[in-house]
Amino acid sequence: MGKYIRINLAAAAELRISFLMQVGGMIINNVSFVVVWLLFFNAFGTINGWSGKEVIGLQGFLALTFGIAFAFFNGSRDLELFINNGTFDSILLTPKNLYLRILTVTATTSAIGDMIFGILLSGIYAYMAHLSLTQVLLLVSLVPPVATILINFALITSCIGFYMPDSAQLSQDAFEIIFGPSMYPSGMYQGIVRFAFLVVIPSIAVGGLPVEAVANLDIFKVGIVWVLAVAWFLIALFVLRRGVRRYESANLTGARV
Amino acid sequence: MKLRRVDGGWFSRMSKYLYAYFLSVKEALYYPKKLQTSAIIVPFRILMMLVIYTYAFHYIGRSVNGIDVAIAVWSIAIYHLLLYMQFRGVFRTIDEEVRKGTFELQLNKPYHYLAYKFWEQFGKGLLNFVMSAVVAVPILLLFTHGFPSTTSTPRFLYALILAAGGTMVSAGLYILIALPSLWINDARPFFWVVDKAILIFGGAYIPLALLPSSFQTFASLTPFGAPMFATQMFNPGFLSSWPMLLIVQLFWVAVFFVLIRIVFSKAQKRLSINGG
Amino acid sequence: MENAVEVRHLTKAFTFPVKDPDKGFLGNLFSPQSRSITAVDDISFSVQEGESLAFIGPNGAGKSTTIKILTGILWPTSGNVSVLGFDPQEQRKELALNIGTVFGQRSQLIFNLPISDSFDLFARVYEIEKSRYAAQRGKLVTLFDLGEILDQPVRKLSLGQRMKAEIAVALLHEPPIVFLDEPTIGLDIVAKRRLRENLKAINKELKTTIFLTSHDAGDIETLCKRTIIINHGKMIFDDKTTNLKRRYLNKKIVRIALEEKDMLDVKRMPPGIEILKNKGGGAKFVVDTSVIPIDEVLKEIIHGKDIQDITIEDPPLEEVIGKIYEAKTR
Repeated sequence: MGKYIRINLAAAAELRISFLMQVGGMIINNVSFVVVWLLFFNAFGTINGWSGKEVIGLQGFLALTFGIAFAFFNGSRDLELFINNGTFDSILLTPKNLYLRILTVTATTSAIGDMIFGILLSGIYAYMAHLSLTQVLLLVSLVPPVATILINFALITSCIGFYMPDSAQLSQDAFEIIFGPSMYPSGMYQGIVRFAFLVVIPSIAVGGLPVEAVANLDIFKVGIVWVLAVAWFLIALFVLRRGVRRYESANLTGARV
Repeated sequence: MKLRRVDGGWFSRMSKYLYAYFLSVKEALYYPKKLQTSAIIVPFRILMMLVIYTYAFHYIGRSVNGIDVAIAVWSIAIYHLLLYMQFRGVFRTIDEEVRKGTFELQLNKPYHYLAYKFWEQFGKGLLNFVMSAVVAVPILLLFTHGFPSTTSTPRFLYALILAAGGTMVSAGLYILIALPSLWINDARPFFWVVDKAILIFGGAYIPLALLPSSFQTFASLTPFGAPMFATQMFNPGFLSSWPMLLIVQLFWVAVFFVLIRIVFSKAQKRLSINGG
Repeated sequence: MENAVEVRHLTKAFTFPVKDPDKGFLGNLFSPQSRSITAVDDISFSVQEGESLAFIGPNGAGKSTTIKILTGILWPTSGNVSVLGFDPQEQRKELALNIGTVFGQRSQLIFNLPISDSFDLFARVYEIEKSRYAAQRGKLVTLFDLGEILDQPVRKLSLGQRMKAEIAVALLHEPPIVFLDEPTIGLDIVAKRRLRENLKAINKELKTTIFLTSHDAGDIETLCKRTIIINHGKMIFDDKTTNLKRRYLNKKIVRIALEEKDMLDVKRMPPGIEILKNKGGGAKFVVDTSVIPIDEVLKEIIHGKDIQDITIEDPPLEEVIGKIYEAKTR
């Protein structure tokens, strides 16, 4: 798996200028979003423990986990493309674990921009919030489960491709439904809305909840993140298995002969 | 040899651009999935803003700078709906056509390339705008219990005028920043900066009225806020401020028109194309 | 007869930025070096109305640059160009109304919409009167056999169908001259043949001047009575297509069928003959007619042999063109 990741990144990084452009573009994109929410809290003040500082932490953490997840495992988002263009056949034929093979088939360089940005911004947050070493380690330890949720949710939305040809747009939209709300300060989500965006669509689980957990050293919230990571991993495996079975039985009109 | 001369009247000349607009609208029907996105994602985004702003205003228990939750959310909704009637896409079209070489194909056609791209792009967003408005507006009317309290008929009229002006500013701005792709390999950095500036100063996620006064002044005078002046239609001071906003838009339209003419003519002269 | 195209001392040079490896990124950014390449170097030619001309050369020779100058896309560095009496740079719009262009690898049709929509659009782009449009459209639909695919989206067409539609659209406004850049690229043999027949018909019946670039020798041989070859920016050949072979290659390929197990006696072969194949039952060889006339060769071979069959061919035009491309410029 490591070999595939290295090959993907080396191939992408060869296009150096293009690589820098993509990274730069992502950074500009992310900075503007941070600015927007800083301006929001400048107008409203602290809401439910959330202020500009927490937004910086949220955006940093999200960018970092998003970057790690898709810099290395972008195949989870590209699965629909493989199914549609017939590449999935050759993926099926490789003598590797299918789930891991799918995840590592492609990497994306712009996600490296997200990683760099995420590390910087998380560092700024840690400084502004005067995080202790324990809190910093806790933040870092939450990266794997959150990345797991992101990757597996992306995989599930991509599996739409097993059931509907040419569904790239729909997969993208479905992924936006988790990722969009995760970028907004989750202190604003309460009651049934909070439940929906925690359990039904894990938006809070990937963004706000880890930040809240670190700020308050709340082990219960840490536990929820890990439980959801395992749950979404298992759901993804299940959905993938069903989808592959459908693909192998050649029900797809787009299957290549 | 029997040669054809340029003798068609105004209508004959405009007819090609209007037909390009019509075909763009028609072609959008062939992307039903994009239409479905506009019917789902944009209303969903607006709904998320509604959730956030409802909680925020409820939490602080008062309005901010005369803006309440209804005005704030309607302002953001207008931004996202109007985005479809603007010209972000023209940047990518021109950039792609220059890189693929189809740009030069169109230079030997009897129309002005940029005018053609303008009408073509204008048609692309119409159906998406309609789809998203059809879904988003009823949802908003339901959750904000109708239009904001400041609503009046003149506001709709003035907002329509500013929306048209904003469309023209957007067209000028995005076309201008696309033209460097004729010189340099990648003009995307210009796009990112402009696009995000409009996102902030146009009020994509936070209405202009809630920004610090220095930001508001900057947005009111620069082409980064001008495309989205119509979002201010429900703001308390709109009825007195709208003429000034229109003047700002007209100013930028004139500036971009002149700049584009100069830059495009230079670009045509210096056109350097691979192959031979 | 007025000339459709007049080119006098046309030159086009391009300037490219060049990275100096010793300078580093900032050095190259602030004091860049540039290099000039002359893509077209002082060429002159005329094309008569109704003529069909092949304008060919190897990749990078300057032919696409020349076409782009003739159609108003590029501006020349120096020289004079006139197409249909118009200056392509100063009278771009007037010229555009009177030329048709087809660039084989790049489509002008609207991808997701039926061909009929592209037709309607181009009718407006070229400001064609309604009655003329109806008549011309009908003619082209029949000529190019587009009737059954008129309502199909362009993206669903095969490459051959798409190319027919591209050329039909380019002829909608009855241009006196049409520029075709690789129109048969990627087409199968049948599609190529049909397309060539259609283009020949247009040239013959409508007297449309054809200005063609192609790497396909079949296009050149079938369609164009005259060929100009350009290489390294200079014209190295300008003559009838039939003279291409005659001037550049003095070779004939001879195939003979002999009695089973009979072969040519290699020792008796006169000079100027290169044996390609010689085994029981037949032989194939190349005769250099500048060394020995073909009739003398045949006399030698026939002597004492029982010839079952014989064919004498010119080498393929590709070979001729290839040799010209490899040769130095004049």
